Amino acid sequence: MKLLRQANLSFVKGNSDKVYEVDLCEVGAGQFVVNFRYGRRGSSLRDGTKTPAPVDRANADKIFDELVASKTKKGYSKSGSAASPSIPATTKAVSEPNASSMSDPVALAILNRIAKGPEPSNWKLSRAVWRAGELRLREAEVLIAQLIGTGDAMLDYCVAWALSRIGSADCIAPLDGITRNTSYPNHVRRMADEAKRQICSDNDRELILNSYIQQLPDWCQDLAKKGPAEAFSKVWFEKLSKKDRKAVQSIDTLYFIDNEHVRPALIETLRTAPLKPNFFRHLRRIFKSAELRGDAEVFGILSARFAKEKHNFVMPNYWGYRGKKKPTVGDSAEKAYSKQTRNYLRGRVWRSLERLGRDKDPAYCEMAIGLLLQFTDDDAQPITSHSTWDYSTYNVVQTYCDQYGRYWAFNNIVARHSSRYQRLSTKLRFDCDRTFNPNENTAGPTEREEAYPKLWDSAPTSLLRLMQESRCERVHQFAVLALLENKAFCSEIDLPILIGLLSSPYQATCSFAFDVVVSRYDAANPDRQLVCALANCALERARLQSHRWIEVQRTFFFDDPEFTAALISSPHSDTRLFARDSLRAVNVSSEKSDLIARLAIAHLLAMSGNESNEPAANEITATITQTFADSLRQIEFETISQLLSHPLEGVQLLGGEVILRHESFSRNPPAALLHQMLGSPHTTVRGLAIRIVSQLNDDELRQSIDLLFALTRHPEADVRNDIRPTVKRIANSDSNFAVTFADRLINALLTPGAPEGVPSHTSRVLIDDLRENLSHVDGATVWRLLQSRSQPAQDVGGVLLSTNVDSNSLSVEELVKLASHDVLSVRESSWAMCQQGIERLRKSMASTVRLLDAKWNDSREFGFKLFREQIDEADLTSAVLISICDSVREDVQRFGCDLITKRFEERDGQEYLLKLSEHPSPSLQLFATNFLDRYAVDNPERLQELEPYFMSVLTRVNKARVAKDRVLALLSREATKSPEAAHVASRIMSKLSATAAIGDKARTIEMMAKIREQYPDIPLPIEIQTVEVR
Amino acid sequence: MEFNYSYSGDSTVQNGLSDTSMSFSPDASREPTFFRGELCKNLAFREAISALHDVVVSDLRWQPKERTEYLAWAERQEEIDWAEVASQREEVKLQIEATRQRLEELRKIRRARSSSFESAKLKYFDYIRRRDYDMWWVLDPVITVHPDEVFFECFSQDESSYGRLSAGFDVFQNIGEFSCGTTNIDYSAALYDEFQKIRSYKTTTFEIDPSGFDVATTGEANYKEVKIDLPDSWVRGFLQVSSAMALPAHSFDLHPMDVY
Repeated sequence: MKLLRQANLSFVKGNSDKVYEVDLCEVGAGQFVVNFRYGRRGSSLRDGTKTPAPVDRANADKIFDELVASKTKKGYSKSGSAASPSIPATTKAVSEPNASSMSDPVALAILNRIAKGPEPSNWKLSRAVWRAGELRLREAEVLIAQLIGTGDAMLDYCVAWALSRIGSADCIAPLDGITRNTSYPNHVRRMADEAKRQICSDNDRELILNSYIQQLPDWCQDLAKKGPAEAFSKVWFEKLSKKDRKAVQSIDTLYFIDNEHVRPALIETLRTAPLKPNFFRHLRRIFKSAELRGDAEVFGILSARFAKEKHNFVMPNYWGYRGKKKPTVGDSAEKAYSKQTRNYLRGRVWRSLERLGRDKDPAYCEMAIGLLLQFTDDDAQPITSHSTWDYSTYNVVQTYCDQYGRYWAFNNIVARHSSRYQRLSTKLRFDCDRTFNPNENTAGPTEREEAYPKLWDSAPTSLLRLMQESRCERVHQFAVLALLENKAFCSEIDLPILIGLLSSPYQATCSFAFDVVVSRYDAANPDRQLVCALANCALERARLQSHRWIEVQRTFFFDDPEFTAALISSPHSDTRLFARDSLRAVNVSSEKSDLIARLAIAHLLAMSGNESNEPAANEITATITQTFADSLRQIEFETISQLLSHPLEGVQLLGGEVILRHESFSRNPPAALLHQMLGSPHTTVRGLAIRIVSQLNDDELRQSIDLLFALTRHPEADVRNDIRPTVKRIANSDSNFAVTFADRLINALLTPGAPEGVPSHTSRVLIDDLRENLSHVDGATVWRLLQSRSQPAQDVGGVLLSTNVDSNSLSVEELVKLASHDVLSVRESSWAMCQQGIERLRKSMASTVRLLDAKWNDSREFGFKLFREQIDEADLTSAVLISICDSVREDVQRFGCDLITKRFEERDGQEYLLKLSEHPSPSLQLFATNFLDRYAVDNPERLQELEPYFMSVLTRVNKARVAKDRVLALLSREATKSPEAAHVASRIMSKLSATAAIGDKARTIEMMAKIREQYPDIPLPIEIQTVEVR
Repeated sequence: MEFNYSYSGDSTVQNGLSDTSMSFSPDASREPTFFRGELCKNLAFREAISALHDVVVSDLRWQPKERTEYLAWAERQEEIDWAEVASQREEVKLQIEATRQRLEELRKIRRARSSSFESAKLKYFDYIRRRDYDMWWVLDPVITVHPDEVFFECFSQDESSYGRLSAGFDVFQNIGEFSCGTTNIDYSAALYDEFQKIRSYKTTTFEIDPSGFDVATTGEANYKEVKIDLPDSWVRGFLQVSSAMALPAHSFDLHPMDVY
């Protein structure tokens, strides 16, 4: 089969990028076919044919043209139309590299390899091109530029990469060819873009960047061009946080632009963007670009993220995806950042650093710093260990992996040549050597162990920068050891820099700075700033040294208020105490001490609210109040308010102390400040507020009744308790005050909605402290207190009931109601009143009876006793007794029954029977049966009246057997006496005979038989049949 | 579904020697519904309203057994059993036996010492329970005044039964003015006790108190506000009953002995 014509069509629009290839082939003599292939660029294409059977050439040409025309009409365009791929004519006549100018055999070899072109070799051309770029072999530029367009994507990529490092303006045209030609894979075109950006002139770059800015979404184009950076960041993150598609897609465009307006937002994005699909591939591209550009910051950020962040998933091996699409491929990838990808990137970070180091490229230090600065103490991981069996010694061996052991590139930089670690390059890990246990030995390295020490030696300023900026102890240890060897440089470091180093929290750095500084100290001409830095340094021996120096020239040093204030508010306890002790022996003028106090207060206000600052704040407060008490007399309201709103307890206390010592506020504390103090979460501060109030003299306090009232009703218990003695003192000395105050408290008690604990405290104050001043409270108020729903109000009412309320003013109903009150003292008072007003009780027995129905046992007991002993028989009429029995309480019913049996009189019998029979409880119904035999016999009308009662008793289920028997006996007796009684009995029996209880049923049938026998006319549900005689 | 009621004071039943007055406090936030009359079939009314009360408080739902104490005991026992299994040696067994006896003694002492506390605690809880009895049930029945009858409706606690007590006007005498409608009345467990004191020999006045509405117009806030969160199933049941009443009904009488 011979290919005669071919058309390569492609279609690019939006995310769509597809190709359509048409072939015209000769399959035999005079036989032609037209085949086509189509699909996404880069993916496997699908085949088809337009000619099921071969046709002649003319037809084949026609079909070919029609097909191409139809596809072109649909939007496809021609990208190439030759049987052979379009390669720009490569001029083989390459000028041989000038061997004489090249002394470096490596460079020479590379040039030779590139000159040979794409011929088969063990040394791939693309690798040689890449290496040329790495080594910045400018001689290779012409050779490399000629390699563009070989059709080998890898080679094109490497060419673009290398040109970006070594190219000149001449290469722009060929690179343009790559970027314009959509048949090149995207990554190659992107790299060509990158290369163009790197090598073009400044004017051209402006144009290129502008074209990139045009590609940004509309909402940020202007901001990206003109700034400011803050506005761009705001808009950018607003969109990015909503996962705006366009924003996510233009992350790498931002890095192409990379001007001062977009860079801050870009850096922040790189720090925070998730390593997830959509985001990750942009970050990966940026990482490679940064590596190429030597952008240490971006390279460091991304490298550190790859080192610190765990992978998202583990990609199964190749066989798991044979014939299937990988989940990380394409625009709609489901996954990103697999374990394999992460490990590749971690390895790559160190590989690219290592190449720089090996090539003695000064950029090594720059890039390494970029990475090291991204690690902080927070990144230290817990030390882990694993055990292995050592077959040579027959022992279990513990191997440790220390805090930074898992950070591959980091460890390679700082501990490549360490004897303490084993470098496991397959696991990308540094394990501790068997002789080194990181749990026991935490001192850090004692000798230099970093990679490429010579490079570091030549870049001491970089090491100094690490010491100034790094927040990682391990990095400081490395930098100090490396810099110590550079004695000449050390002796030339400026003093301000050293002072800055002294404030470092890391011992190693402080120690380094201290050693350098000691030799420079001149006692004849002491430097306050230096001594101050030493006194506040993290290194103890440095602080002690500074104390010694200060001791010698105490007056000189403490003459400077700023120095003194800095010492007082030192972060270290020993210096603070030293300053306090020393100040006792120094005379400071009042102006200076004012200034010192203010400066120290400013230091305090600047402290963070962290709990660890608490002891420092307390000590500084103590020093200020002890040493500069006089200076506190004129502090402004604003400052005090700021002190009081600080979260630290010690600072708030200082605010309180200032008020106490203040020349005007101590006599007349501003309400706003007191309010601030009382609202503090700290007990001591609230206590201090009470102290301020209590130290006012009584006259002033009497004026501020509102304040005292608010404190007595304060939601915090300690405030209420602290002010209580003061209130009591004033109340005892001034009865007018006491009466007004008590009235307000009572009113407050009657108002619901107070915080928990306040009403009970108020009632205690009223009962315990102000009891003598409550005699004016009238009965109506006491009654309201008693009827209140709040327990404390009821308590107060109970206390006042016996003294403030005249028992005669209460009705019997009210007395009875009080006897059911929940508060014992109230019930007791009500009993006492009942005793006093016994005559009144007797007169209204209807209400008195309800005393027995009281809710509380003790009141009922009192009632029983009262009825037994103090109520005359004359008052206990039958109606009263029945009313007692009407109660639903069994004890009261029993008491009533007892009274009835004791005081029974013949004439009342009928009434008892009739009225008690209506009682719903079985016990009273049984009690009523006692009267049946006496008052219900021979009286058919009575029987009729009692009919509901009989039914009620007889229909009880499994209850009241005795009562039932009695009723049945009565009925059977009475039924035979008169036809009227028989009627009543027959009605009851008719209903009852349906019962399932055999005994009762038998008796009813028996009774009905008897009635039928005697009064055959009375209708009954039975039919008597004579027993058949056989 | 949350319902807000506001009652102008509590419903009260006053029992004297020869008279009883029942005054129900209706929901003042609804249209005025009131009624006043004297009962003439006292006992029947008493028994009927007691039966209605029994419907309200009945709860036939299955209550799981309180097993915490048993489980604690079982756990302890299991430990003992395991200890016994583990004690292979006689010596250990003896030791365990001695320890167990000692433990048992100690427990006995503890029980004896804390018994008064425990009983006081029980008493206190009982007091609390009784004091806030009404919290336990949504007792408030619905009351409807018709031109020819007054009826009470309620649902049982488990929402399984519906009870309705219709009192035709022949149950009352001396009927005062009334206004038809449906309303809720304030009802508490203490009222049930007072109902038990209704007697035929006492004049019993029955009123759905109209005074609350008078006060409502003057806008004073001395109201008892009650918020009841009715379960949806309760509301659904009520609607179902209402719709079922519109259907042709089968009605039948029961002989007392049928429910004996």
